[in-house]
Amino acid sequence: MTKLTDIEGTDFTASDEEIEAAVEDAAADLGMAPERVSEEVAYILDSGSGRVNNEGVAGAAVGSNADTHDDPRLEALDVFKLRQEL
Amino acid sequence: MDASDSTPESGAGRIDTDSTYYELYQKSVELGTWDAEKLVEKVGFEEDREVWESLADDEKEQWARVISYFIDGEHAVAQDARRIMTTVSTPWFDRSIEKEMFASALALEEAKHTQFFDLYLSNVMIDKFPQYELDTRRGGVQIPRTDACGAGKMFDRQGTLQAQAAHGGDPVDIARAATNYHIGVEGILARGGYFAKNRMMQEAPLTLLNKGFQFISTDEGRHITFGLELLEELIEKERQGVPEYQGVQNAIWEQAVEDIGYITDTGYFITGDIGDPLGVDFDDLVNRGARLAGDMLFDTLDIDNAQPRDYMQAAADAMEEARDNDYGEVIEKYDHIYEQKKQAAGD
Repeated sequence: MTKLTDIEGTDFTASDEEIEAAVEDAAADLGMAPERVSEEVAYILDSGSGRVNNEGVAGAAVGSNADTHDDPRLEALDVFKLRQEL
Repeated sequence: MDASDSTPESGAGRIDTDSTYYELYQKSVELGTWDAEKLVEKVGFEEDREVWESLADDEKEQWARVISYFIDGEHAVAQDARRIMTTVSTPWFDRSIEKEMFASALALEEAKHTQFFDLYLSNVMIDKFPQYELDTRRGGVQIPRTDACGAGKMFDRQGTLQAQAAHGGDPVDIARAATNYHIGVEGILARGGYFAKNRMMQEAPLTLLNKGFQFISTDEGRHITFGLELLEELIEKERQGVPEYQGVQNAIWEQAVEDIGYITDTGYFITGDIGDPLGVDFDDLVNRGARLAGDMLFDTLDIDNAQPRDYMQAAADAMEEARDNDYGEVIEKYDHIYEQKKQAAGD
């Protein structure tokens, strides 16, 4: 499975450090291991292929989610956090 | 305690936990079990209703055209999922339990996608869908907008191909059905729809709808990976010279070329035909679809003897035809058929 900071296939606006910090915060909130959160978020984006192919999430910030700064990895992290509540 | 601490290190007996299909199944359990009712409760309809009521009629019509083919499409694939479960349990796929496990997850997810769009359409967009409530299985028809464009024809074709594959079909039949469903419907038509909704959301941000689309496209990503894995297995056996698998690549290519016509027609129907008020851009949509198709057919499957030129020509022909189509006339015809069926159902 692909590491979130190794994923390819689109443009990113956040640095790897920002991504790792966001994953760690989310993992702490969810009571999960950061590695597990990172793996799940990467899978949301690439479905196991190693390349971002989730059109619905990767292009979904559309300026309406200021928290994710249009970075698909942060948008996918938001999706994962919401998923854990459902 | 972190649940991952107790993750088993070895296999679980007769199930091959190293299989890609098992990994897909497990990800469906972890990511695909979201609750559509809870999503609706959590985000709520109010904000979306407010945005919806602020839209001009042509903007509502553009959304309605996109959502029509999504709900009819999800309904159609939910119905066909049982056939996929049958197909992947045949000897052509070595009767693998891991494939059956994933197919069962796929069936649940497609039903849930239908549920989400049903909830959304009924609670937010119902003013644009006076002909909606009759189930296609209970004497109804597809939404007139779906029937008017290529998507409606593609869903009809999907039912036929999936039935042929499930009921005694050979590897060539299975290849056609998997190409139509996983590459055509999920891989290009649906992903093209996500591309369109991303653009439309900039002008008309429907928050709940966007969240639903995000979960749905995540589930669909696993379905596409599953379909491509199945097709790679069939191609590998063809390349190994197994007699029953000869013709698989040709069938994939023929089906892909057939389907791009339906997909292109749908793309024009949701954009150029109504003046594209929410700014999707038909040419950008076609280019995105071509890129997605290329990634799957050429990069991933590496189909022998496939000419991209033929594919692009089929898309160009469909584009030309779409510009001459009178979709409004077809919608009116199906409106009339729907009304007759509704009256008959009420008798």
